[in-house]
Amino acid sequence: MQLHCLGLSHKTAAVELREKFAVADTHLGEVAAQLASLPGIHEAVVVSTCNRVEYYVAAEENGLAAVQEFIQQRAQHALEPFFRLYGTESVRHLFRVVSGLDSMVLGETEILGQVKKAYLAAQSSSATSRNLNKLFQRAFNVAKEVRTKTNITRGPVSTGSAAVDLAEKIFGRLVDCKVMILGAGETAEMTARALQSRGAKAIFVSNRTFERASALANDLGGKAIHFDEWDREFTALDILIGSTGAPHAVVTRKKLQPLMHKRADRPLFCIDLAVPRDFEASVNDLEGVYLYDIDALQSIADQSIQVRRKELTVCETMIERHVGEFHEWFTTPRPVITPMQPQTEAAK
Amino acid sequence: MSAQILPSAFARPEYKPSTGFWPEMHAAVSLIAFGAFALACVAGVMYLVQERLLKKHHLNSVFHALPPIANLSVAVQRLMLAGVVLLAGGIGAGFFVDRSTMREPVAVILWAIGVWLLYGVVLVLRLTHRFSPRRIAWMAVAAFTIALITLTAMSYVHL
Repeated sequence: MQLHCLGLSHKTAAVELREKFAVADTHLGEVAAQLASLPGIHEAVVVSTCNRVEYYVAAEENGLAAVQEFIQQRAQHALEPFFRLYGTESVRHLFRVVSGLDSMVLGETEILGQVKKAYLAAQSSSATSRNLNKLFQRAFNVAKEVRTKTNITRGPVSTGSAAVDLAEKIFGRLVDCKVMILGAGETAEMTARALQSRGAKAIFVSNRTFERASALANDLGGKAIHFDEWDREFTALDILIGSTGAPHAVVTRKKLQPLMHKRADRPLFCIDLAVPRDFEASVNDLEGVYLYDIDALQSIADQSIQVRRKELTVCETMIERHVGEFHEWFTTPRPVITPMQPQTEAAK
Repeated sequence: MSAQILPSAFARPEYKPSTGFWPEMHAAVSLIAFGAFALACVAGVMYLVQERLLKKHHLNSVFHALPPIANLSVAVQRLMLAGVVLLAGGIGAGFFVDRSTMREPVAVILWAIGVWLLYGVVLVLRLTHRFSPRRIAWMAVAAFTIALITLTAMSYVHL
């Protein structure tokens, strides 16, 4: 018996292909159980996320053809884009996946939760046993070790998450923070949603087209404001996001300076996502104002990615040690327990 | 008064600190007050460093290690307030100490009152929003530095 991994990921297949083979969360356990019941297959776990579909099986050599046949029939598609990994290669691959080293965003942690969910679904459907239980539990330990002992998850990797991290470094908890979006750009909406996910509650949207502001405000559960009146709400604001299509600066130092005096010394975080920029650069010189434009945020994200890339070698070394230990456990002959024989009359 | 706080600065061979409830309260509360001022000074330095890093977009490991700037601003203000209230208590307790057993020079008493007034004025200016969080951070550092320098200078003058 050997461990195998058959799958496709964002590295090997486009989304059009990945969606053909995707397995819904609610069917992960059921599909794993169907696989495990095939001849020559002992155990199975199916991992399906937006970036990968992977089948982990403990199977005899002759059982692999049945797995391939099963996947093909289920997706009604040929298996050309699938990679096939055997033995320690499949173990190494799983350890890299759960640690976020194989993810689209290096070091992301969401994948760990998704793999855990897939494993629990398979386990509750009785599709796993000694080998895959040991493999996945070891994988979760590896992910934890990689995450806590290296900087692979450190820092924001997108402009949105960089803005949210900065907001937390300025205000601490975002629960009481009030956010205003000038314009109704997509990036601004995503950033506002990211801030909302960390607790920011009051969101104001101000746009030249009031209907568009209303629509976005409804989506975000906020309040729409006429563009000419945005400064009336200014004293209550903590975060101001600019994403208008205006050809000139909407927020100037001259306009902001008198407004800042009314704010009782609360800091103001200005996020300029517009090109051309919505904020005059000299706004950053005002006391208590912290201005970050799209380039500054991108630079923060790039720095984090560089830090993560530097950590790759350390993570790979850590993983290699665990692969070796798992291989040793897997290849160690297991003690054979023979059933007890009833004592014969003569022996009595 | 503060000779009991920093006895080494005023060490004299025949000096014996007064004992009893009021002398001990006076010394203990004054010591805690200066501890609060010292912590306000540290928080002030942290605020100024964090503010500079945020303004210059230098998000290095120091930036990540420091707390949020809004929390630092609140901490500076609260520590200064705690220091002012405690020092008022310490000075007040000093008036209940038996004068015949009290060996503090008058200059030290005046110095403590001066420090209290300095912090008190800074705090009033902050609470009335005449001092920005940045200026209060500077003042937390400056006031503590002034207090330390003057106290050290007085120990050499032996007033």
